[in-house]
Amino acid sequence: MPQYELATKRLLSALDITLQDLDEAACCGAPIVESFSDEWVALAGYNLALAERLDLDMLTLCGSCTNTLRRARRALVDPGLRESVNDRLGPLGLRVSGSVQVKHLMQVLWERRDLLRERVSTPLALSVSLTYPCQVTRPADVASFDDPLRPQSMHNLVALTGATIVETGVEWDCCGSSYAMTDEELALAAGRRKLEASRDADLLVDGCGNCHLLLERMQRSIWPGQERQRLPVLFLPQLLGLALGLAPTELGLNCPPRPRLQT
Amino acid sequence: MPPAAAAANMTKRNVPPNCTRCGLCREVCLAEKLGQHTITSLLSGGDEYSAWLCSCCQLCQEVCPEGVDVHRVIIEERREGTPTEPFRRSFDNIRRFGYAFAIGEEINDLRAAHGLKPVQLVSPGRVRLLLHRASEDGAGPEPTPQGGGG
Repeated sequence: MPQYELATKRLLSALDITLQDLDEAACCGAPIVESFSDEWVALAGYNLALAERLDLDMLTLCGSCTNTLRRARRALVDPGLRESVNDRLGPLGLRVSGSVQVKHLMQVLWERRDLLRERVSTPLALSVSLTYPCQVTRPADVASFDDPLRPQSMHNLVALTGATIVETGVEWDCCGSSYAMTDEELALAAGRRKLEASRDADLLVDGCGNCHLLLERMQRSIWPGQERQRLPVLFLPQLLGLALGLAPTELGLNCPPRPRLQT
Repeated sequence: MPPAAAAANMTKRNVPPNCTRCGLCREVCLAEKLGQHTITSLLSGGDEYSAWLCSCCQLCQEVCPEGVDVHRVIIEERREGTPTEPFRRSFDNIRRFGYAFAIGEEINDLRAAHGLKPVQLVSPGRVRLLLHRASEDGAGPEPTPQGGGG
């Protein structure tokens, strides 16, 4: 989703982080390829090797990519598997050693939270509910970031904007977007559950394209014919960017979000 | 595919010996909370489930008191079962073009409209090299040119 990438690049630039696009990157490899074949590790290893060649760590925006690439990195500790993947990478002039760190945006922002706090210039008078990118903190032994069941990093990042956080009780649950690959009605029911729990918030914030696909793009299907119920859903870097005084258009937003209940 | 139909070709031989059928995994599973039955039903002693309903959020694995590698069970079950059409199509797209969505060079038009620089997509030839199986002579039909040069 270009808006997510745009907001991420603009926000990280404002936090003095330079990004480099990973040319020729492919799909991360799992869980789709993994559901059929062990070769998923070769595809994930290929993506890791591209970053390794640039001597850069890897930023991910999707929970599933984060989980997959980290699990591949863990699997590639096995010398036999690593060599078999490198046999495939050799003809491409690539090699994977597993040295690349994979960090989701939420983790990168968490590491820059002090600078973020300093640079907030436009506190947001909004009430915000959250949905965590669930695969970023699980499994705990692979993720090594935040609490695997009740993470707090997104709460703390959003709190820096001055927004009021609306606790929903479902912020740590999976969004259910992937269910659409097997049972679309189940995905819509999962999305409805999240959105209904956010009814007291002005907007919902997510940190994964897959969550956004369901909660924002498919919201019309979640609430058919009830357009007035529509809840704005922003990516985490869009909300943080607004608090840093960045223009909505720089963040892929057509207009700034407004509190719903102004009398 | 309805979950019950997907369950027909599943077996219980993939349940790991350290699973005590305590049912904690099923208690935390979102699909189960919404009335469907996925791998956590198998691990709780049930017969009716679909491994393809799992979103891979890995919450079940995180709470398992016995440390069962639930993700591994899901993958084993999926490889023995019949995929849903979106899974099959996405896998086919990845094998042929490198991406689950059938994106091509037109993605750069969309990027340009948002002020993003163009990206170079992976070539189908690279993907074939990465994903070919030792047991296969080829990786399916030749892809049509899309998403990058050879």
